[in-house]
Amino acid sequence: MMSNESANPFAGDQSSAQRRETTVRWLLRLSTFLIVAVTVSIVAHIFIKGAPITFRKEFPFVNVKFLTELPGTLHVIFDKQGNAIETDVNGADGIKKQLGDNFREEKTISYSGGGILGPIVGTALLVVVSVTIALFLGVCSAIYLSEYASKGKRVEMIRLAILNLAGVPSVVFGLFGLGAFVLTAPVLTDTPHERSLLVIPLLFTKLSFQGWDTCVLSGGFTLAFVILPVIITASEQCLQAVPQGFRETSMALGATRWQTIWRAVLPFATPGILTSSILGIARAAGETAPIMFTAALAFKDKLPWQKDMPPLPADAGMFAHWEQSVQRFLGIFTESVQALPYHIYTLAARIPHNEYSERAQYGSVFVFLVLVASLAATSIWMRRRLRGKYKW
Amino acid sequence: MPATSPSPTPDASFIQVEKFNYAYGDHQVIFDVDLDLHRQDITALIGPSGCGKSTLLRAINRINDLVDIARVVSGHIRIDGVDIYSPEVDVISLRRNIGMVFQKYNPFPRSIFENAVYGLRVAGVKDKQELEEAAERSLKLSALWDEVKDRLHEPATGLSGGQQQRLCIARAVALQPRILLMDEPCAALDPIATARIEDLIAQLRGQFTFVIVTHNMEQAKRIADKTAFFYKGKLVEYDDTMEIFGNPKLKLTEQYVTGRLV
Repeated sequence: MMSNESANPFAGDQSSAQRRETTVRWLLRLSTFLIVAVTVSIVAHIFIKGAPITFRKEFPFVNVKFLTELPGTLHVIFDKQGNAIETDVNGADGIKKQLGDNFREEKTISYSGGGILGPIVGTALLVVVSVTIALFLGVCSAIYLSEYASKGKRVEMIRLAILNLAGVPSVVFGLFGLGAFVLTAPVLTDTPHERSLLVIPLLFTKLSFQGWDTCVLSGGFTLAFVILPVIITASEQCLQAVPQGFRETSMALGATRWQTIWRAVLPFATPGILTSSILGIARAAGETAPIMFTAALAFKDKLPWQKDMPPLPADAGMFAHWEQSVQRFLGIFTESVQALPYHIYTLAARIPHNEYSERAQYGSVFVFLVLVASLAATSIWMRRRLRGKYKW
Repeated sequence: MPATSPSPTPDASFIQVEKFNYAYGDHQVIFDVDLDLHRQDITALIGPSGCGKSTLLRAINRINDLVDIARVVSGHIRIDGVDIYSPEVDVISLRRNIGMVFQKYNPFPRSIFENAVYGLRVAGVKDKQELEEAAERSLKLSALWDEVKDRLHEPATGLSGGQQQRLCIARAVALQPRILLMDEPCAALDPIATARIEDLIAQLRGQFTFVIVTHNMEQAKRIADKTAFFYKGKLVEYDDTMEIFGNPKLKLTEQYVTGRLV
């Protein structure tokens, strides 16, 4: 090597600035990877523990019993060789008799037997009711804020209020729902409850402020208020994203403001509004606190539509049958239900922990995750279809 | 068509702007403008950016009412003698009688047909045949029919820029308005598409009263019968286009039309 070679002016001199640059880059990179790692491990954990309970190796490949039966108490019977036989309350005595002297011990584990159909149905109903209410109210107020209200202090105050609503802890919504919907909301009835706060006699019946009790409707309304801020904010952004030129053109062609919104704004904002409702759906399905006091039960041995109805007389006409069907349908919304998040909470925290309760718990969590993910996927698919139709 | 050709009908005041003052909040943008626009004329409004010409145009069909803080300070705009800012005027029917074409072509992301009949649809026309006839008539009027007649139900956003702007003109003339307002209709178009729009305007001469805002002097010279020059919210000079460009009365006008006004 030549000794008189001059130093390369571009050769790296590990200055402190460069070292700092490298450190910062790695710090940022590691933080990001850490988040990914946590997400992957959560999903993998639930998949590894939950999938074997939900799926089966042989036909029909899913655990039909787990998905189609209501939860029940699990009876585990041990014989003297240490074999465990799982059964429900009806099968326990038969097996004990069969084992005879070989019977050693029987364990009962609450809520961990049977399936989780009740919680699945309950969560689905709560999501449908709450998203319907929240989308209607949310889109209406977003339209008002974005299209009708004149920009100014008042609108800013309303926005601030909505943002604050988003920050309210969910258990507060639960208590609000208990007070407002379970105990106070008005019903039409001929025989008001004695704890009714106010009874207003109407012509043929009475309007009684006695609440709706714990039911799908109370829970749905409560959840609707939880997800309302997300839906309003996102809907308003979607409306704002529609070019102002569409509004001006439409009005210049003699459309009223409402016609303009209906024909030249809302159709083009819908894909975005649907996307924003994904967040709402996932949140509504996942919240536990707001439904604890308003809709959910730890255990219920009936589906919401399995309600005892007085048997119809043999000569009952079409109308009576029809009327009873309608009553049965409406009855769904006035029944309390089980819900997946609350069921998971019950299994994890309210009964002694063991391998059997853990199994039911992870099975529920897995099904819950798949359900929310498929809801989200549906919304994304709908959005992509609509987005393709309306592009500007 | 050269600007020297006589207007098809004799001078008859149609749109009268009287002592018109207009403001956004406290910021006044139009000062004491008096302007008589003649029936069936093509009038160009020229002037540097921010001179109030677009605002005046948008005040004629009251589309500026959409801007919360916009307001008429004083004065009147009369169309056929009717003060359009008087409380008895129905803004919806006013706008139905005045077509408007915007700077940025903006057909709705729907089919070509639906764009052409939008005005009729919001006016409550449901009859399929009537809609189809109106679409054909207005697309023919805007010289677009031959290019789109086989794909009326395809998305309008698939058309070229110039075609989209002609569709916007079709949409505006479908309601058979008497006035067509154009706010820099060629600003977003290439020279060939611009030439086609200018040809179209020349073809439609005499069927509508045109008011066109333009930054393009040559365009004003080519298509306008009359030209009004605005500067800082005031009307400086209003005359036959020939006079404005060939023999301006005021120094300011001469400086502007020769490109020496900064």
